[in-house]
Amino acid sequence: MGLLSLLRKFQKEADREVRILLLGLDNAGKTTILKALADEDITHIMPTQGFNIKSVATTGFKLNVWDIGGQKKIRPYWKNYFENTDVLIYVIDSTDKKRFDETGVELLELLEEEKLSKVPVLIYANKQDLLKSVKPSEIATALQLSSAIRDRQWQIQACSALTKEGIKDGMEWVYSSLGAQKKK
Amino acid sequence: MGNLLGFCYKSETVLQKEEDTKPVFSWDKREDLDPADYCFEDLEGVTRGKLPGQINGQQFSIENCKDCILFVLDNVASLTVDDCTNCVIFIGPSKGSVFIRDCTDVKLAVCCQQFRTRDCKRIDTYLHSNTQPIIESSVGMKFACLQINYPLLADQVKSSGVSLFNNEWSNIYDFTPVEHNSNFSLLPETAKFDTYLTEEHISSISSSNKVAFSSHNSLFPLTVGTHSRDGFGNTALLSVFLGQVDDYVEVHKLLKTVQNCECRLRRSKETRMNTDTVIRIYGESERSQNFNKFAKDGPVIGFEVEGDIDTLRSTLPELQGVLVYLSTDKTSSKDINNFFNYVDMTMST
Repeated sequence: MGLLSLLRKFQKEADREVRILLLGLDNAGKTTILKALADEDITHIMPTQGFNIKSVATTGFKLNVWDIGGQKKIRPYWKNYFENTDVLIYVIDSTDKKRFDETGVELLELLEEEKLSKVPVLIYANKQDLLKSVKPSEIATALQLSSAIRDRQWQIQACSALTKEGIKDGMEWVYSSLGAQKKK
Repeated sequence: MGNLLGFCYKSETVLQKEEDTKPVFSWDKREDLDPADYCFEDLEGVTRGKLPGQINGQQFSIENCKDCILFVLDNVASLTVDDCTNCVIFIGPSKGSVFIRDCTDVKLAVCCQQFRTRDCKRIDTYLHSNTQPIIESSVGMKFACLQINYPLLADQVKSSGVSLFNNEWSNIYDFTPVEHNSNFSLLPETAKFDTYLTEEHISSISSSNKVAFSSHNSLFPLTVGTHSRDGFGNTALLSVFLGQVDDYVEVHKLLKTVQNCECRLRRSKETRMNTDTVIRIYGESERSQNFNKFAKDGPVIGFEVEGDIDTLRSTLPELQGVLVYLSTDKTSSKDINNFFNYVDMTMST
C-alpha cells in the first residue's frame, strides 16, 4: 500500500484535522521525513532555522505536520508548539551514538510536559539505511524507553526517510493510535 | 495497550502478528561490511587515506584524532567528525550532511549537501555546500570556497547527487551569535588548502590519484560569495541551459573563458524551470521560447559574473548542445534579481 492509499484510508475513517508535532535533535532527519510524508523532493534540504509546516490533505481529512528545528539553541522554543498536539513523532538519528544520551534526555523532558500528557508517541529510528545505524530494539534499551514511557501509547519504528522505507509503517501506527484515542 | 504495541515482548499474539506481517527492509539485506573500514579513530600524528572505491558511498566517521592528515578520496553517505584536534582533513562528496562536533584547530575541505558544526573552535573550512551552512556554539570559524580536482571526482560528485553549482559556502547562519563580534569570517581570497600539505602527504596517500587543490582545474567553480566587490567591473547574469546534455564539459569550457577575460563569479545556482518561470525570469520573447525547449529537458545554471563583461561577451565560446545567455547592461540587475530570487525561493526549505 502506497502512502497515498494509506492517506485515503485515513480520509475514510477519520473526518478531522490531526496535528502532528515532529521533534528530535538537529540532523535527525525531521525535515526529510516531513518531505517524505508530503511526497516531495528530498535532494535539497537545508538545516531548519525555524520550523516547516506541511498539510497533507485529502477531502475531509488533514494531517498538519509541524517540523521544528532541533538545534540545542532553539529547543527551548519547542514548547510553543505543544498545544493541541494529537501525535508526537520523535526522530532519532540511529547512527549518532555520541548523542543517544542527549536525545534521550530531550525525549524524557518532552514526556514530562503537561501539554503533551497522554499524547501518543511514535519514535522513528531514522537512517536505518546507513552502515553504522543501531537497531530500534537497541536504541529502546539504551534509552530505557519501556520504563521511561508510561501512561501513553508509543511505538518505535525503524525507518529511512531517504529510501522512504518504514515511514508508511510508522504512519499506520499513528493511524491506529488515533483510532484508539477516539474510542476513549 | 501502549507498551504492548510499542515494545511487544509481552504479548504472544501481538508477537505472532508482527512476525507474519514484518516487512523486509533494504537494511535487512545489507551486505556484511566492517564498520571499522569506514572510519578513522583514535589516531595521533599519522597520515591516513582511503582511495576511490574503498568507501563507495557509505557513511564515514572520524573520531578522536590528533595531529593527523586524513584523506577520503571517495564519496560518502554522510560524515561526522568528532573530538579531533589539529588535523587536516579532506573528504570526497557527501550525499547527506557533514557534521563537525567538539573539534579544535582543524583544516577541513569538504563538499556536501549540508554542513553543520557544534561546539567547535578555530576550524578553517574549504567548503562546497549545496545548502546554507550552519554553526552552533562555535567560535573562530573561517570559510573559503572549495577548489579541488582529481581524476574520479566528477564521477563521485555525480553519484553523490551533490550539485556542482549550488554553493552556499559564504552564506553562514549562526544559531548562537554573540554581540559585537562574529563567530565566523571568510578566509582571504588567496587562501589555499594545499598550504597545509606537502607533496609527500599527498603522494603517501596515493601516488596515482593526482589531487590538486588549485582553482586552475577545480571541478567546483570558484565563487567570491560575500567577499567585497572592490569595484570589480560590471555585473551580469550568465545562464546555461543544459537541455539534453548530461555532463558539464561545456559549462567548464565557458568558465575557462570567464577566468581568461578577467571576470569572476560571485555566486552560482543550478535549478529546474517550467515555462512560466522561464518567461518570468528572461521575459516573453522568441528567445525565451527557445530557452523553454531546453529548460524542459534539463537544468538551468545561473552565474552572477563580474568584471569586464564586454570582453566576456565578445569572447563567448561556441558550445555544443547547450544554450548560453548573457544579460546586457540594461537587463543585468533585473535578470540577476529575478534568477536568484526565484532559486532562493524554491530552495528555501
